[in-house]
Amino acid sequence: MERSKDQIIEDLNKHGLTKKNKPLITNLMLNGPPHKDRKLIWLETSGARLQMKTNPNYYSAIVEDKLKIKTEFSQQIDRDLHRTFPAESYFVEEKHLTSLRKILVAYSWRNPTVGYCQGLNFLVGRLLTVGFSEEECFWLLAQIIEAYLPNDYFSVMTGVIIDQQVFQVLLKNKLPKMAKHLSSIGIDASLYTVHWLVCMFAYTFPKNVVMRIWDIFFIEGSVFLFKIGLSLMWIFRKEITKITDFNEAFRFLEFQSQNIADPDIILGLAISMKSINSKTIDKLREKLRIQSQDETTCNDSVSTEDSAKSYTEICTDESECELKSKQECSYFTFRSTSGVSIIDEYINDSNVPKVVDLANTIDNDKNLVIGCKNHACPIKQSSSVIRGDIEEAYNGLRNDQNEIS
Amino acid sequence: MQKAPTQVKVVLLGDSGVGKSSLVLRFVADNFKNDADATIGASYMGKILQFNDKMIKFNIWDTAGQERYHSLAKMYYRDANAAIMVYDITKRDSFEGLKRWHKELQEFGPKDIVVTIAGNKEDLVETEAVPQEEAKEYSKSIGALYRKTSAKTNYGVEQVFRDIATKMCPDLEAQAPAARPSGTISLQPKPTPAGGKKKCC
Ligand SMILES: Nc1nc2c(ncn2[C@@H]2O[C@H](COP(=O)(O)OP(=O)(O)O)[C@@H](O)[C@H]2O)c(=O)[nH]1
Ligand SMILES: [Mg+2]
Repeated sequence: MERSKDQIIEDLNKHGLTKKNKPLITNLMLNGPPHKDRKLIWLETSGARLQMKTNPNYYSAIVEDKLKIKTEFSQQIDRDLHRTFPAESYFVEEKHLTSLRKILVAYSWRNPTVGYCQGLNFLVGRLLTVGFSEEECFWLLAQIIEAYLPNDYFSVMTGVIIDQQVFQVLLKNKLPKMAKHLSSIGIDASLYTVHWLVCMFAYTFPKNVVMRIWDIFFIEGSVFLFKIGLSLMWIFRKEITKITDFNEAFRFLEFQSQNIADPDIILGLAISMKSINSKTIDKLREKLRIQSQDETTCNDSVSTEDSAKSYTEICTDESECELKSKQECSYFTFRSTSGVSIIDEYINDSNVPKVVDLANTIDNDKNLVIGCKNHACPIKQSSSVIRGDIEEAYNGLRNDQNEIS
Repeated sequence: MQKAPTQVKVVLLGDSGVGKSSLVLRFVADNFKNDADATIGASYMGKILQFNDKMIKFNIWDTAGQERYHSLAKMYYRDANAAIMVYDITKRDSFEGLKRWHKELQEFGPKDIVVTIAGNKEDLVETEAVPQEEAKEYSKSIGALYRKTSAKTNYGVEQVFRDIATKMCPDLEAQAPAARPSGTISLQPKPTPAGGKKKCC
């Protein structure tokens, strides 16, 4: 039964993430993988490597076609380059800033609904410092936005607002005393969770802590971000409940987070929280979304005429389904045999999903994909299934740590 | 024993890159960085200013500028006493952006919020893209105070905050700030004529 680290990594390298090796990988991640393996593991578990294999020239083609074009997004990116981890010497080097720019600009063309959202610079910046190539960063970013987080996170940011409310609910359930205290001094989760969620803690914690969080994030999904948030609050529970000033509480949290140097404590706590899983989060998200929609009656329904091909093929089996769910793009991508083309009119257009008249696109390509993130195949019930059973993997591993209450 | 300082919550609004964070850093820590982190969400800093017979503590909330963050910014200005709307005097767009910010303030902000407009990057006045007259005119039209600032050279920065205090408490006699080694001397604000709000005094 015992398998060496190297064997596990080798297996992942050969077969990708499988039901069999997943618990082993997860176990490997609990104490942080050997740094040299981290890259491979992230690429495999996130599905980024699959994307790269399936779309070999995609990144280079976008860069070549689009890098020089000035858009609203590229201008915002340029404003943020020098404001990305400016204290780290890595980001003083012009060549690294150039890479950062290329990745962000390329992504803004891949997914014009998102374009560029402030905060993505910190995500990509952190990926770059781990040592990924530009192309790898690009696909990791694409997976984070398109497969891991709700699809209105970075576009209109409604997803972030919902997740802040999700966190508020979790805090109330798991740390009721603290939640009560915070609300008595007027602090709601929406005040302090913005960068937790938007930057997945890259803006919040030191680099070594962020890497350990992302080790598990790529396996477990966005539920892990909530667990980290709760763990953080638990660590500070004594201090925070003593602070009675609204401003000071906020400042304490911001400042102390940056001083968390030892990832083990926060990781250990987060991992031991077995009562929260992806399903919990999905349910809460759904519920809160309906509530907030009721409040702001929105009626911009999207028509799906068949003037565009939407991507709803039914898969032949589960493995194909799993593959596709990782491949699929959030909004659209336009692939042709010659590489990638992008429909320019999408830029600056907020009406998405949008129906495109195929007759007007270049060489009536069959691979135009428009639609939403999770493909509609009934075999795959929800994205959480893929990562959902991870809780089991932890069973027995960390029983020593009592769950927070 | 001195009385506890009066608390004033100030929120900074304005497009990304106009210098909101830099203004706060200058005011609070008398420091300027060419490159500081882009603000994600919001940050908080506090500073106390001494007036003749009174201390005012400014609780300053600095927000992210990109337009899609506007919906998240509401949380921060909901209960603010004052808003500093910042534009970059070399960027016409950022001035136009103020109108959007103001509209949101009116919609979601407190009714009696004191609004100040800061035309920042005054040190780059040779490349000014918005005529000062126009900026003043606009400020007047929305009942806002107006001042040019430079976070870089520390021009007018503290004054923006003193303006706010004076507007909120018209009977405050602003104490002359200690002369700075740099030789920059801020002008005393004329106490705004009646009609000011008496919220904090
Ligand atoms: N020349 C000049 N540059 C400034 C001034 N204030 C800010 N900056 C620069 O403008 C850029 C954006 O500033 P920042 O404070 O991050 O803007 P924010 O997005 O509004 O918070 C930074 O590179 C600053 O160094 C100023 O008064 N003069
Ligand atoms: Mg800022």
